[in-house]
Formats: sequence, structure tokens, C-alpha cells
Amino acid sequence: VSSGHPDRPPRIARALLGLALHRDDRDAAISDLDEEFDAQARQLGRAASARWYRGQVLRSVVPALERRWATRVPLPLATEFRWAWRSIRGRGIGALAYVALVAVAVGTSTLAFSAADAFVFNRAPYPNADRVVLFERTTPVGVYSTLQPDEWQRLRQRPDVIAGLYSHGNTNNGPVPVEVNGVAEPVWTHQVSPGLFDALGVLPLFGRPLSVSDNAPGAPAAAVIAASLATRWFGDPPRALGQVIRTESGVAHVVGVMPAGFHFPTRREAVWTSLRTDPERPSGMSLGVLAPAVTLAAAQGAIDGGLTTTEHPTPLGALGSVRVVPMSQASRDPRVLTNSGAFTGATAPALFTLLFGAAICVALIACLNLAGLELASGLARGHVRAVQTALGASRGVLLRTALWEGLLLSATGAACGYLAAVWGSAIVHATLPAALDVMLLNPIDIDHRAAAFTGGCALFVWFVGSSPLVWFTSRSGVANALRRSTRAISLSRGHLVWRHIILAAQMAATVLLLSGAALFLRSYTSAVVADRNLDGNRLATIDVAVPVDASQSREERERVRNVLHERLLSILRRNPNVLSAGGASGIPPGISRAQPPSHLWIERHAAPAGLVHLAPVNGDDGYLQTLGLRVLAGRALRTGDSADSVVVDVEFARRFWPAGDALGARFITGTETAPGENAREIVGIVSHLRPGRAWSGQPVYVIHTPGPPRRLSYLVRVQDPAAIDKVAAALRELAPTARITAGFMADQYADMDGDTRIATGLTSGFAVLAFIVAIAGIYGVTALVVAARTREIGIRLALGATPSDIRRSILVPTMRVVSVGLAAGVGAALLGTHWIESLPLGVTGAGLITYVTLALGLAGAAILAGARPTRQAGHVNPAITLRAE
Amino acid sequence: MPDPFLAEFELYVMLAIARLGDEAYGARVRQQIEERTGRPVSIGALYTTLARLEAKGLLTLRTLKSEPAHRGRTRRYCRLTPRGTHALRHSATMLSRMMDGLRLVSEPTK
Repeated sequence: VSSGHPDRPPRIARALLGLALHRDDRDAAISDLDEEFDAQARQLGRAASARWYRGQVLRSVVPALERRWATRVPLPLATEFRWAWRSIRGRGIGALAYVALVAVAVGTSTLAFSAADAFVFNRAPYPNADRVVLFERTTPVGVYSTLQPDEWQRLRQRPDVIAGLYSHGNTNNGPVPVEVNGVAEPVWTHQVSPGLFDALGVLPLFGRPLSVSDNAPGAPAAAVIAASLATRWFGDPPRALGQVIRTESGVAHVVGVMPAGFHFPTRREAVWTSLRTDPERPSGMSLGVLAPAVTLAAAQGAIDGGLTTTEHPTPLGALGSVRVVPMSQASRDPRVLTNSGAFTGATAPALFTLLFGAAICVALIACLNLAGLELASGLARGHVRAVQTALGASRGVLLRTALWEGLLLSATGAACGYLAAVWGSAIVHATLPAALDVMLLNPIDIDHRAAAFTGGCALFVWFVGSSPLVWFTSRSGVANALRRSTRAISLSRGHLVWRHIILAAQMAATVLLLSGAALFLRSYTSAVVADRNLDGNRLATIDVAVPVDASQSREERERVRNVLHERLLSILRRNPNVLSAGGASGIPPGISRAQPPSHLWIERHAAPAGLVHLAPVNGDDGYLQTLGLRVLAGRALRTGDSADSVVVDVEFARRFWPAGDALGARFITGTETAPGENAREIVGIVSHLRPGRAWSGQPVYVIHTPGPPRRLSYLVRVQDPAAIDKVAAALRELAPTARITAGFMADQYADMDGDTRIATGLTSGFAVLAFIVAIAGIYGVTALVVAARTREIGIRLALGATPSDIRRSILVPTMRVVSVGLAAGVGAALLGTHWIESLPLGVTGAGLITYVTLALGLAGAAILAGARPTRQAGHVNPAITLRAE
Repeated sequence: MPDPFLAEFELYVMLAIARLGDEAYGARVRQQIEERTGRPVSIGALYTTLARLEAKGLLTLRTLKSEPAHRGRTRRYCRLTPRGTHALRHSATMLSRMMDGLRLVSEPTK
């Protein structure tokens, strides 16, 4: 790499030489090279002289290091080091295999641990996170952090246990238009009760936090904003103080700017307003601060002793007990922080438990292979150790030499694995869907402890594998060891049994991982490709956020918005790039994935028919056609339909009215406390549209409800995807101060499936790694068996055995072990399928045939891997082998 | 103290230093050996050898830091010690004795 400067030698090469050279020589040697570089650059040009410089550096590194070590390392240590280095060189490709295995183990486990650290253990980055507690309640459909009014009151009366109680929540299920200086922008806002940020231990960088006086009658509404927003809107964060921002609910004055890097409850919220709470009732989610000197166990004891109740009946059953969890731990499950649910947050723990398991599997296979490799090469190098013993090396020297060797190999492997993990985490970050990204309160950092731990494990495995062999060599006597041929390795029965167990375990783990990857790939492909039922690449949603005029009354604002809606829609429909357009909200259809499901009663039936999630979509008469949905029975909604009319998805109709009598039927959905009052009447049935998935595992169905869209959102089908910018620009001409965002349905669905996509990518990556490592393991074990049985093979050939007999005798026992491993793997995969299906990842099981096919494929690969050493066994020359004896 | 024997590369280095006199420093010594023997010499190998010869007491090394005359570059000058001169003479004599009367002819081609 050159610096690009005409007179400067290559920077990296120069730095490398500086590192290698002895301190006394460094300045002079580099000056010498620089001087010659200048002279050569004048004569030959810079490129040639840079090449010469790099060549000099490459040739200088080894002698320079020799000098450094010779002066620093005591002589006996230098000898041990040299022997270790020679031993590594003697391993040839084996050393590379060792380094690669350590790299795989370190890389996968570090990457998985770092991701798990960010997603699962995702510690809340607040100073008081250990003293602020959440009240986690496990209900039949999930974990939530809400308190009942009577519980809230009882807790308020016990300041000796909970010193402060706070609420926070968000009534908007998405960003809302916030207007500053006449320009509107969609921003995620969040309401927090005064004092909550103080309780977390984070104070505004400028200004003040929200206070109780902000909620006093007649007091102007106050807001605290994120530093990034303050910089973008006002240039300099302090200038934000006192400025006015307008939201749909009115005008607010900025009273504080939070420090950069502060996020609550997820990364997307950037404006916090004061939550006006009734002191007697909780509002939204609850947080408490432990009283000084009260331990977590004491608080839990008080809660269990009557501060909360499990008696509240709901349609879903009685409420579960409340568990007091410090925020520093609870935030690993973001549901309890957000409740309203970024959809992916809820699945993160399950997802990353799965991936962590996969990574540990790969690391385990790699370590098993390391042990096998070391066992094989250690036996082969007994001869070398015998020579070293003959030269006067003590057992300690041999053990230390072995340790140096392992240290060098493991360190190199760990460094490669670390680099791979760094690249891997960058790839994971780049492919992270936006919805999952916002859930991360901390970035995905490479965890050095994980890398060091796995590197240490590799070294330990290596030392445990090699030290008994060193011990054995030094005890068995030099003469014996030297007499033994290096090719004739003794392989005890116990050793072979262990090798076979290792091999079978590897194969089982590989089948398990490959099956997992196949499962994810199948489900992901079917979810993303097959089931969409629309051309998402040409179908786009356009959202228009307009400034709010706070001086207007609510009705007036409604009227202005309706006029604007009509004009925007007419511009869209006249646009030559647009094939069809409609106003619609709730597209793509999804629900908050952490939301509990509702019971559904079919009218006239006493018992509920089942648990469902309903994803409502509403809009004008153009959106069904734009979506490409067909009316299969009944009719589409039309102006003047009553609020109870509904058009349902065909799959919903088939499930609850299997006899086909859905049209005209009425149904009721239950809320948390009781069945709803109003029955909905089915007036039409339309073709299937895939909604987002729910965390509860219950099915989600799209229902189409009457009425104009609640927001200025539009669904357009464009002729050419590239034309979407032109379409948005045409709208901007009409509403220049509005913020217009356009996105294709395909991308939005991809975001919705982001967690499954990441799981699919990582599981597949781990499975491929496991496959490569396992195949290398089969090669290693077959080669070892051939090496160990060379003498026996020679004798059998001399006695008349044919090469094919020999090949069969090598391959059949190995393949028998492989088959046992494969069968165990298929069994484990069948069991694991039930577990994966129970996770909220939308994965559906693959059949036995898929697993057996995978296992057969792996068996084929195993035969190919063992082919080369087996062929070599058939080519053993009995005369040479027996003469060596 | 017995006369020290010089290895091949050490001999080249000593000869180059003797030839360059007061101008013997790393870069010049390296160039001198390359020009006269045609053998590529790395700066790392040269400095390792210089350190070894200094440890044997055959030469002294003197560092001149950041001389303006040398564009601010550091130079490490080498000078043979009397023991070094003696060792060089001794090695040259031994070599000459070994070569004396020897005619090197190439092997006949078949």
C-alpha cells in the first residue's frame, strides 16, 4: 500500500519494518532505506522504488526479529521457541488446518456472542439501571410491564419499598408529523412522567428535564428533544431551548436537549413530552425506583406479600404474578420497555438463543476437530520429540515447546477469527432491518472477552490433546521411540473409540445445523417469495406529513386535511407513471407483534371460537384494486357503509366458517376485560393478503374496515419502480412544506421478515461452516486410520488382499460411524423442529424426507472426503512398508 | 583469545567497511556488498550482522542522529576495531591459503 505521496516510501511497509527492528537499529535502518528509496525514485521512478522498498522490508523482517529475540529472550527459551517454530513448519498444511479451525471457532462464537450481547443481553445504558425496576407480569399470552390501578395505589403507599413510581407510553403507533419552522417531519414521540429521566440518572445536556410544573393547569406544554434532532433543526443544541414545535396534539416548548447517545425506550424516539397522569392510576407502562437500602429480594418479597394481586380475571385467564426486575436485566426483552412493540424486539431472545446455540455447535465441532488433529499429528511427531530428548531436552522443555507451538498457532487462529468476526458483525449490521436496528440500545460491539475465551479454549484443547503425548514420548524411552517408524503410528483401541465418538458427534451436530438452515431457508422463501400475493416491487406506499396549524380547531384541521387528501389523490391518479392509486392506511397490514391476541365470538355462539389477531386496513375504493385483491364473495366496502361492516380475508372466512356461510355472518372480538359491544358484519370476502406475524404465535388476519384513511397515506402501483421519485416530487409541488416518504411494499415486507432473514443468513452460514469443518474431520480421521494401519495394510497386501479389500476395510468402519452420527442428527433435528416451530419466527417444520435427504447428501460428501486417504491405502507398497519395519 | 573466524556474510560486511573507511554506514555498506558480489542484501540482515560483529568486538558502531547535512536522517557509522582488522586479515590469509595451488575447473560435460 503506498501513501500516494511522491517522496514518501510505502507507509505500511515502513511501519512494519519499524515494528520488527531492534530499538537500537530502528532509526538508522529506516533512514538508510529511505535514503536509498529517494535515490532509486529519482533513477527508476516511484513505483519501481516502492516495489524495491517493500521487497527489502519483506526480506528484513525475519532477520530483524531474530535479532530482537536473540537479545531479549534467554537462550534456552529461544531454543524452545525455535523448536516450536520448526515443529509448526514441519506440520505443513496441518498447521494451516489448525489455524483455520481456531479461526472458525473464535470467529463464530465471538460473532454470536457479540450479537447476543447486543440483542439478548442488551443492557440498558442508564446509570441507575440497577435501581430502576420494571414490574414484569407473565400473562397467558406474554410478558408485559403494566400494573393494575389498585396495585399502583398500594405501591404508592409504600415509599419504604418503592421510592418513586413512573409511567411512560405512546399512544401513536408510528411516527407523527412534528413541525418546526414551517417544515413538518415524521418523528417518533414518547410520553414520560416527570422525573423519569432523573430516576434513570440521565439529565439533559442543555436546559432542564420535564417537571411536575409542566403538567400544571394552564402551563405551556413542554418537550425534551434528542441532541441529533436539536442539531438538525436548530443548528446548535443550545439554540433549541425555548423553540416551539408543533405536533398534532398542539404546541410544545423545548425545555431540554438530551445528550447524544441517549435513547428511551428504543433508538427511534426523539421527542419526549410530559405524560399527564392521574396519581391514582397508572398510565402506560410502569417503572419504579427501589428505596435506598432496599434489595431486589426485599422488594420482591413485599410485592408477593400483598402489594400486587393475581386475581384480575381477563378473557385470557387470570393475571400472572409480578416479578420485580432491574432495568439493567429486563431490557434484554424489549417488550417490557416498549409494550407497544417494535415487532422484532419480542423475538430477539428466542432468535439469538437459537443462533448462539448454532455458533456454539460450530465452535464445538471445530474444537473436536482440533483435538482429533492434534492427536493425529502428535502421534506422528513422537519421533521428533524422541530426537529432542536424545539431544538433552527435559520433559519440561518438551512441554514448554509444545505450549509455545500451541500458543503461536492459537494466537494466529484467534487473530484470523477475530478479524472474521469484525467483518461478520459489519455484515450483520449492514443487513439489519431498520425495525430491529432501533431496538438496539447498544451497538453490536465485538466482545473481546468472548474472543479471548474461545482462543483460550482452543489453546486448552490443544494442550490437553498434546501434553499426554509429550509425556508418553518422554517416558517411553528414547531408543524405543527412535526405533519406531514415523509412519507406523500405534493407535490403541481406546483412542480409536474416542475418535469415532468425536466423529459421530460432529456428524450429528452438522446434520442438526444443516436441518435448521434448511428449515429457515424453506420458511423464509415461502414467506417472502411465495406467499406475498402481490407485486411488491411495483407497489409503493407514500406517506405525507403536513405541518399542523395549531390555531385551527380540530374540525377545521380535519376539513383542510380531507381537501388536501382529495387533491393529492387526484394528482396521483393523473400521474402517467401511476397505474392505479388509492388512499389507505394500515398497509402493509401488520399488528404490534407484542400485542396480546383477542378472543373471537361468532354471534349466537356462547363460547369463543378461537384466539386471533386482526390487522385492520381501511381506505377508499381504490386501494383494493391497487393491491390486486379480488372480491371473491359479496362486495367491496363503499361510501355510506356502517362502521360495523367489514370485508374479510378469505383465510379468515375459511377458518371460522368452514361451511362457506361467512357472508352476512357477524362476529365479536373480545378486549382484555370483556367481549366487545359491537358485532361486525361480513359484507364481502377478498383474496388473501399476507399480514405481519404476531409474537403470540396466533394467526393474524387482515380485515378491511370502512371509512377514509386516518392519515394522508396512499397506495400506488407504478409502471416503473424508478419512477417513484417523480411521483413523490409531483406531490411535493402541491405540499412543499410536507415531508413525503415513499417505500416499496417489497422492502417493507422484507423489514417485517428481517428477524427471520437474519436467522436464515446466520444459521445457513454456520451450517456451511459446520459442514466444511465436519468434512475436514472425516478426511482427518480417515487419513489417521490409514497412517495407523500402514503396517497392517502392508502385511495384508503381502498375504494376498486386493487393494479394493483394503479400501473397503478402511471406508466401511468409518462410514458406519458416520451413519450412526447422521441417524442421531436426524433424530435430534426432528425433536428440534418442534422447538423451532414453537418460536415466534414463523418457521414451519420440514418433513422427515428433507432431513433424510440432507443426511444422505452429507453421507455422500463424507465418502468423497474419505476417498483420497482410502485410495492411498490401496496403493501401499508392501515391500517398502515391511522393509521399514 | 583465539582468532575469531568470520562467516561468509560477516567477511563481506567487514571488507565493505574496510573499503568505505569513514563513509561506512548502513546504506553504503549494503550497496557496496550488492554491487561487488551481486548478492541481494536486506537491511535487516545487515544490521543483525553488524550487531553480532559488535558483540564480538570486531567493530564499533556510532549513531549520528538527525544530521541536517543528511536531510535529518539518522546514520549508524561502523569502524573496524584493531581486533576486527586482525580478524579480517586472518580470515583473508586463511582463505588465500586454502585457495593456494587450487585450480577450479568445471566438470566435463557428457
